[in-house]
Amino acid sequence: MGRRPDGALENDVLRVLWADGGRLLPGEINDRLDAGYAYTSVATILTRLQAKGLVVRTPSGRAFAYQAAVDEPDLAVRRISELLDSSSDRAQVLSRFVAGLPAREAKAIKALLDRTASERDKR
Amino acid sequence: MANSLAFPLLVTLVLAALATSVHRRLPPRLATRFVTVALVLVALASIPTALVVAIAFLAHVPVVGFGFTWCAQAMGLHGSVPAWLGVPVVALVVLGAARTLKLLRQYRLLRLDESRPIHVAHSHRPYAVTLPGRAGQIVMSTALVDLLDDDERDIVVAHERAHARYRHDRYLLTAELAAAALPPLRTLALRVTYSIERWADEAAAAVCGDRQLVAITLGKVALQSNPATVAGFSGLGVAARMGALLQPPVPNLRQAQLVGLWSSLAVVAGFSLYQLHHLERLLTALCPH
Repeated sequence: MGRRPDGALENDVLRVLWADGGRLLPGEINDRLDAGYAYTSVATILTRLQAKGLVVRTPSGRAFAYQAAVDEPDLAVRRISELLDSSSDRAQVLSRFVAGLPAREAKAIKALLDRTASERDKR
Repeated sequence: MANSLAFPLLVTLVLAALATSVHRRLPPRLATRFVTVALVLVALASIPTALVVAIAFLAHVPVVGFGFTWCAQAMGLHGSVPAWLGVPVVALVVLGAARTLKLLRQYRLLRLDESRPIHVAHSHRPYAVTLPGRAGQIVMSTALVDLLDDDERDIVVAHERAHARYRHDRYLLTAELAAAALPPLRTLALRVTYSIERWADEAAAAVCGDRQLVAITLGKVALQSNPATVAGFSGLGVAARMGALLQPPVPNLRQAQLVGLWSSLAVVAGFSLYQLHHLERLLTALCPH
């Protein structure tokens, strides 16, 4: 199996945690993933998810057990914010009120706003 | 062989571009549907054609070609594709596949079917978006909320609600997928995305009853938003939407005009089907019953 993008693996791990609803050990998560990942890559993803605040961990014996800290809608909303904060043209599948603004367009918009403002003043 | 494949395709593309060039003179809802149908027709003709040309070219490349020979034979492609055509088309197909997969992944990560109230996200950039999916989840940034007064905020919400209610995410995904798979389809895709926004603008104007105020709100948000890094000046941006709102609304088409409009697409469909029959023999070979 080819290497999957990290985002996809993060999503898979979260899905397992959401389905369970409780705390799970990395080994248990790996078993349920059913995709033959290395134990270490699941552990790495869990550490990364914890750093992002998406999962919380509690000591369980000599290891840590993990639980989801966000639900699915929360995560989708967070992703939007990240996407829109990082660059304005990547979020192609989103209907935005206003997408990015090319420099040439700003001038045209200002002209239209000025014209409309003066028209409204006259009324 | 290259000519017999490329010619009807070129005609299909040009006809679709011509037919949809009237989109700004149509009511936005009709424009969205009309251009989307045109885009799908062109995509149906052109994406399989690109694949056929790529396979026919690869069939004649030493070593690699061995695996593609049966494919080429099944399609009855005995002529060879010249390298000047074959190499760019193969590159286009590979790139298109990668871009399509990327887009689908993005869609899968963002789509949401479970509804909840409008979410306000902390950000210094003003934005309002509707997430793809049945829920039509709306997300607004704190910067946008701060920028606008109550009336203007209601306009943004009405605009985004229209996206959700009319499932604009489906038109958008169709347009973006087609353009990702085959870059020359971008022109048509831009017309779809523009019509979608116009549709939502008019829906917001219907709610607030002041088309001019919708235009002002658009301009205000646009001037505060980020300069686009990649999307160039297309003439189908915020300024065009404002211009449309400051003009009287586009009247509905008369019956005869509607017939003419859809007939123009029937011609495009004809060329598209003609193009598609090149694929028929490949499919027959793949399903031997």
